[in-house]
Amino acid sequence: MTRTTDSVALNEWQAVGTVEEIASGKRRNTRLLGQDIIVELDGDRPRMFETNADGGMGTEHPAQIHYGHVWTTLGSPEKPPLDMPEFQEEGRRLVKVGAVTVRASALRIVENFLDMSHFPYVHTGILGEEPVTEVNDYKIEIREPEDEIWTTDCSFFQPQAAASADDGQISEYMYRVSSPFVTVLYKTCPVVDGAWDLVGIFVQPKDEAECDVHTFMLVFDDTSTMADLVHFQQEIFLQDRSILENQIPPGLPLDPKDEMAIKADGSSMMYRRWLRKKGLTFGTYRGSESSQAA
Amino acid sequence: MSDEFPDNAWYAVGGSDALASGDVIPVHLFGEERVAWRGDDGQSHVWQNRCVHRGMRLQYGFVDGDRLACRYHGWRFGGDARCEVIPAHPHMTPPDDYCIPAFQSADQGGLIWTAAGTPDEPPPEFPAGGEPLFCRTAAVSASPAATRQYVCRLATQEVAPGYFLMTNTYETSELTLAVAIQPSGKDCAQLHVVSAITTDGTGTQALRLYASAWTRRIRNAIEEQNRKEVVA
Amino acid sequence: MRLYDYILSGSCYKVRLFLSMIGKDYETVPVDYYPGGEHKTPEFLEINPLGQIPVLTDEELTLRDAQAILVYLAGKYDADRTWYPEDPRLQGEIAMWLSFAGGEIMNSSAARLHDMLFYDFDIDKVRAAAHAAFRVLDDHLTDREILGRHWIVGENPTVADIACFPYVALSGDGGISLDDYHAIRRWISRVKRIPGFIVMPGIHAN
Repeated sequence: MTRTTDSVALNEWQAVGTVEEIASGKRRNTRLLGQDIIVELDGDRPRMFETNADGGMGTEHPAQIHYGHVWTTLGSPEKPPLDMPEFQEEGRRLVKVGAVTVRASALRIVENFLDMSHFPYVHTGILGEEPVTEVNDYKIEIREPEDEIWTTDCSFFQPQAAASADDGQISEYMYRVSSPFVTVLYKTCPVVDGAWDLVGIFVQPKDEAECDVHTFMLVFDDTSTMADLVHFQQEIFLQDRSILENQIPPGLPLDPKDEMAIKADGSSMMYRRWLRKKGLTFGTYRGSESSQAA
Repeated sequence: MSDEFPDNAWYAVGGSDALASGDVIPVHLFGEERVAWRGDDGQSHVWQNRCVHRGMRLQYGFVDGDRLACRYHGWRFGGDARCEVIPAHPHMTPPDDYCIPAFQSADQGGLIWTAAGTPDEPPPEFPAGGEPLFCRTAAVSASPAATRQYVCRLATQEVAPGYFLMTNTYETSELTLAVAIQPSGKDCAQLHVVSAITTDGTGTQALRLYASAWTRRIRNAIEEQNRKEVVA
Repeated sequence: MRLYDYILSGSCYKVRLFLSMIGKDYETVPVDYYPGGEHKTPEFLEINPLGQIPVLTDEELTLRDAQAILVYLAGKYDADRTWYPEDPRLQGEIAMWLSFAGGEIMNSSAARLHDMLFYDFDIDKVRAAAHAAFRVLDDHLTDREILGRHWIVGENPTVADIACFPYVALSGDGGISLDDYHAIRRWISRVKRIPGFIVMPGIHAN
């Protein structure tokens, strides 16, 4: 595999692991956009190098710590990683769910994260259940100057909305896409009235059809153990993984004619249009062999 | 595709009895992915193994009455491959063009057949006397051509492309076997083995067990030969 | 009864699945296996010196190893004695397949851990070994079907079916396709129809 030439993808900040994972050396050798890289912590300072042909450290690239994760880039991003002021709130628990490898395009992974109509089928008994399958209208907008997609006024009935939930409830959601590879959802916090719990994925695109997904949660929850919180989210993500690895073609088609959409797919259609406008190609379906290689 | 496995022909993809109502199975033909399923009405279907919504493999779906449901969003497709229900919008009638590309298929002679291209003839009937008794399927890790070459040497007749008739001895009687080769992909094939039921229907289990063991031996021999040729 | 459990562990799922099928209540103690590595902590090693899950405690008894736990639960709580019959011949056959479940089939678990959670295995080797194991099981189930039998051993589902099921059904997670194993796929459908069947991530309900 060789490094992509897609400058849109290269000019993004990408998370490559939690501070703990990098510090332990477990994620020292990884890959980003087809480029093998070495990531380490030099004391508190994160550093990223391209891996040379002999396995040694080559060109160095910028790296920073943000929200408990190490972020790096192979290019020159125009904006910093997303801003989440909720991280400053008292009483919040940050849960790092652990990196998971998925054989899928980052773009398919993000699009799945934005979708609600799969809840009754993929997350049965947790995030949704037949016969309550209808997806109500929601709002979609692009917020400037950040150039982020936000969907709001989303709602869905959920048998078990969170680790702390005892009963079914109607969850309200907002979804935010801050980069082609980063998305966060905001959902009704069962514990604190009026607050949002956050769940987000920082998708590290290793190749066009393979990623490491770094999931985090930022919640108000004093009763669940860390294991409970981690397991709740891992269960949901692993349910999605078995779908994501079975979508054909692996690359995300950006032409609306390629796949048939419905009203509930508004966020997915907006995401695809937004990617097309940016000119992103990495992880898209381009009707040729190179885009379908695993 | 080749002279031995033409572009326009019928190929077996499994035993009819092995696909019960409610079953959904993957089918590989010339490296192309298809799905076969049988509804509660007993009708079998062979479609493209891909939902038109978000590309999910339909082999992971489930049968709901006479419809196939996609695992991802629960879209229901009727026997004519048209989408009938979209759960996210339960009151909407799905557009006419929301349908899965379907292939010709038929249950015939104990086997399920699907068409590559547009064959001139109907699917082959069971080539021997008596009722067909489906014995088993075996996947072979060898090319369809290598598989065919081996099976062909044992056969008395090629009834249709990749479909061979042969005789064996079972106890003291002559046993007729029909072997249909499914050209799955470059390095893989499937054998579907059918035999004839004896006139009074006795001993079918013993007969099928014998045919099953025979199939295993053939499969192993084809693969062994293939390994030797690869090394050579 | 207490089960030290991890939601993503196929071995723990063997026990969760069986307990559901025999209708037995229990307390779950979640173990932060990944990314926490809790199963390797000194506290957990007191519970199981092998540092593995599942572990079951029932009054004074502590058991490790999913297969051992299944045998105990069936013997203690299945009044009908169908899950682990008393016939020595069937027990011998069940033991053979329990060993297979904890042995050859675990190559599928290794592939899954490698592909999902960065475990260091020779992936080509474990996938090839898993395929070899699946072929043995598929040939066995093919001949069982010919004899009108629907389960790995005997006339009814036994702990052999429960022990073999998870890492066969989860094989796709490790890049091992079940497309070639027709009899295995039909057996999986039958297991899913056993009353009390529950899913885990990577396994669909039907």
